[in-house]
Amino acid sequence: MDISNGCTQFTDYHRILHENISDGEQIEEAERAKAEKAQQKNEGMYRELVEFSPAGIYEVDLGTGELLSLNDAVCNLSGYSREELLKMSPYELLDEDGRLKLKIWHNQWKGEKVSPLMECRIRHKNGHYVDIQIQGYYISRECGKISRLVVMLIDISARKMAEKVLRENEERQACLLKFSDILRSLSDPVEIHATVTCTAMDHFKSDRCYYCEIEDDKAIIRKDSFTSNLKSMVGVYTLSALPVQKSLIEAGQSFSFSDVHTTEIMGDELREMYIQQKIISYLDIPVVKGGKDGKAVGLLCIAQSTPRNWTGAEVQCAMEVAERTWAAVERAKSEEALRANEAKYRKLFDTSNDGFWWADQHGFITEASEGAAKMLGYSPNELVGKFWTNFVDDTWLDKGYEIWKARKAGQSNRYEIKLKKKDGSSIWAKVSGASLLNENGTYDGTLAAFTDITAQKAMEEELSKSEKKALALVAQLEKADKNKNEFISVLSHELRNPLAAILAGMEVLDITKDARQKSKVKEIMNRQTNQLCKLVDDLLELTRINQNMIKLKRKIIDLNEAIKGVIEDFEYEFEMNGIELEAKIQTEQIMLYADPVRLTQAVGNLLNNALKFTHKGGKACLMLQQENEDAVILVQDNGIGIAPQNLPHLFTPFMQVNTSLERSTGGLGLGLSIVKNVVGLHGGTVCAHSEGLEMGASFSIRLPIVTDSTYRVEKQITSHNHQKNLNVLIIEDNRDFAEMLCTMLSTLDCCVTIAYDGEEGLRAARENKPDVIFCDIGLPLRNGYDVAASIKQDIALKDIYLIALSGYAYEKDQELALKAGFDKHLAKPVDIAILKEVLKNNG
Amino acid sequence: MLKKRVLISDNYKDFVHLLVVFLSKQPDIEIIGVAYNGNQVLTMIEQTNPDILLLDLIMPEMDGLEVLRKIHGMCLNLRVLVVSAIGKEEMCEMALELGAERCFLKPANLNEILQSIRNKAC
Repeated sequence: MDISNGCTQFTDYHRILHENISDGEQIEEAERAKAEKAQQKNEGMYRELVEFSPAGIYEVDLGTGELLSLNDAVCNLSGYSREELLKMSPYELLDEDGRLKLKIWHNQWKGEKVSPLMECRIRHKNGHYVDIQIQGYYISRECGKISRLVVMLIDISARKMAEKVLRENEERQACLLKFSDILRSLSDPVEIHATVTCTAMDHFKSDRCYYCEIEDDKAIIRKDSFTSNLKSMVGVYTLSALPVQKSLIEAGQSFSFSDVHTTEIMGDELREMYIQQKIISYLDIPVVKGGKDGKAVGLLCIAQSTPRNWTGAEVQCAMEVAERTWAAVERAKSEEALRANEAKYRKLFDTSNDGFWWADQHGFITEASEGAAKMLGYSPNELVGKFWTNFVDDTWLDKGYEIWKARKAGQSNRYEIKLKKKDGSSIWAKVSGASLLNENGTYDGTLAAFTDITAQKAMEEELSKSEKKALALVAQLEKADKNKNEFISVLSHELRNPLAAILAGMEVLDITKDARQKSKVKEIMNRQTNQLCKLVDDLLELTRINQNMIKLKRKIIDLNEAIKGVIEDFEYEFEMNGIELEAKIQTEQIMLYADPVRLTQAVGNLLNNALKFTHKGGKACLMLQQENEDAVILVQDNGIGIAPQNLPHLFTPFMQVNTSLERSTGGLGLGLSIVKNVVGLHGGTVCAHSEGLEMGASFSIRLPIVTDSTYRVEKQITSHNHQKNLNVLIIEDNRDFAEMLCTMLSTLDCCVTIAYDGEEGLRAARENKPDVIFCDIGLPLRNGYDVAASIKQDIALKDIYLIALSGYAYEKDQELALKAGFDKHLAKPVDIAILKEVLKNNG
Repeated sequence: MLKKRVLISDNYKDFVHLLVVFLSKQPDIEIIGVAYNGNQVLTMIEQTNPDILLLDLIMPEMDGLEVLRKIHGMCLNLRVLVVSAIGKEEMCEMALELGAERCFLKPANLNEILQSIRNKAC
């Protein structure tokens, strides 16, 4: 700087000013003298004031440009002594900017007495600059002419500093506001990197900016910003390869240099690297998280390819930006993770075979998954808005309400329940229900997840059923085995007694010569032989019954006549045993469709029991009567009676004989089980009654009779219908029902064959080629539908009129039967009028 | 010669009849009675004090085993031969344990029974 030149210029300006002013003023002589006097008087006061003023004041002679005086404050402001200052021009204190400003200031003054204010800097002797405010005053001393300039300097550096801080603060706030605004709308971490670096580059007027995510020893740059002449630095860097930076980053200290060429904080190798990247000046700010022992998690770097001093404000601002960037990236990452998680669960929700639904606190479904809807036969939308009870099986509603109550109390639970489908059917479900609470901890709804376990349940039930069946079967077999052993033991006893008598008889015959005695012995032997024969017969009979080998030879009989015959057979024996036998028989005919031989055998067994178990002098009675559609045969005695505990077992073969070791009346006790079976085959029932031991016993047989009407129907059909008799096949495994139907059809002059299972039925159909088949549905070996299908497929049989018989009369059953090939469906029981109608139509 | 006094118990009347005819023909045997049930047996033992009891095990009212138990407590000088149509061997064993001398399973040879009655006669 050329100070002497500057000084000259300064003096010139004062002179110009002085001339302007002197041209514009005219002051009278007298006034001037008076003023001078006053002026001189004030001179002393003025000097004193100037000397002690805190503002720097100096006086310049406008004529010579010479510094006339100055106070201590000027020395303090400038750092120079009074003597030094008096030798130099005040102009020298200004920097270049100050001198320029001074020139403008003079131009603006325009001859006013007091100048405008000017702010500039003066250079302190120690090299620092001091902000000052300058104001000048013209003073006229001689003849009213302006001859001197007084300049006042006020130190405003404190105010300037405050203004600077304020300004920096405002700038920082504005900067942060700007970053906050852009970051707020961003949700993708890479996008955040891109935007932050771009904005920071612009804000800091740098030519490169990037943000690293720091994970352990890795610094990852996903996106950076740089001017077009530079190269991207995106990549993954290993921190331990950069030990200087690493230690600073780990310590959480920012790292900067203003010129890579001159900085001493790095070695030449690193310097070279920065130079290659065209990073000449550089600032990085680590973000440290985790309190006292925290570690660096992010790093914001600003670089420039020219030297640059990083100001405190810039560093401060960069720190704030780095901090905000990290927070934004973290937020975006966790949001992204949340979104990914949500997408995962949404996928699960949408595609799972299990069902999910949400219900609100009032129990209404708010959202339901496809799986839930499918399971229940709805579409998801149909579920929404409905109350939960719509989907729970009616029989499980109580349980459902119980669970809901617990749920509302905040309990989550797992349970199995029956759910109701749209079509009304139900499924078994395993449910996990979570009670959802709001932030106040009160019940806010339910999330339920459920799995269809219907098949599993069915399997379990089937398993438990078959297990029970197996156990029951084992128990039954064990019991049967035990009964069989008991039976054999009793059988042996019953066989030994007559055998003993026969053997003894032979020995007695050897030693007896008395003819009368011999005859008596032979009679005994004969009786015992007969007893043996009867035993064997009973055994065989029982076996036949057990193997269902008895075939009834039925015909229409008058029961009165049959019973009369039985009584005649027994009259003698009762008389011989001293027991009275009374018979009460109706005079009117009781018509029965029965096997007379079997029926008289059954009644005979009852009479035989009365004979055996009645004391001599006792009384037995046989009564026959008609009750509605039944014939009732009652055999009563006043004999030894039956203990109540034995009553239930009377008709069970083998069971009955358990207690028979106490009996000694002979016989296997098979009589009653034979009675029961024979009566059963005739479609009747038998029951026993006794008040107890020694109270006598009564047995009644109840058999269905052929009523007058059916008898008449039969006559009518035979008389009016001269067609050939219909050939009918009955396929029915319920023997009683088959027999019954057979009876009815016989009265209608049909020729009837019975088969007891599907296979046998088909065989009979092929052999007999019947006109009509009555076929049960639930048959062993082949069911009714199967039989019907086979018959209709057979050309030789397809014209047979097929009638389905079943216990069910629903339309569905009828449809199924017709579909299977049946021509007609009849529900059991069938009455004769219907049969007649059916056969007439067919005939 | 003192005749063996025999009491018969059996409810199978035809067999009893033949047994009575057979034993009656033996000169050394006297049949002092026939009981048709357990209670009768005990009464008749008290009344007639027989030497030998032919006992059936299966009888009404009181069976043979129960009769044996009762006799056991009576301290009698009575020989018991079981003649019965039992179907269970264990009953035979029980009878022997209860003091019966021998068990005849029907159909038994009457001569064998006779031999048994005579064997211990002396």
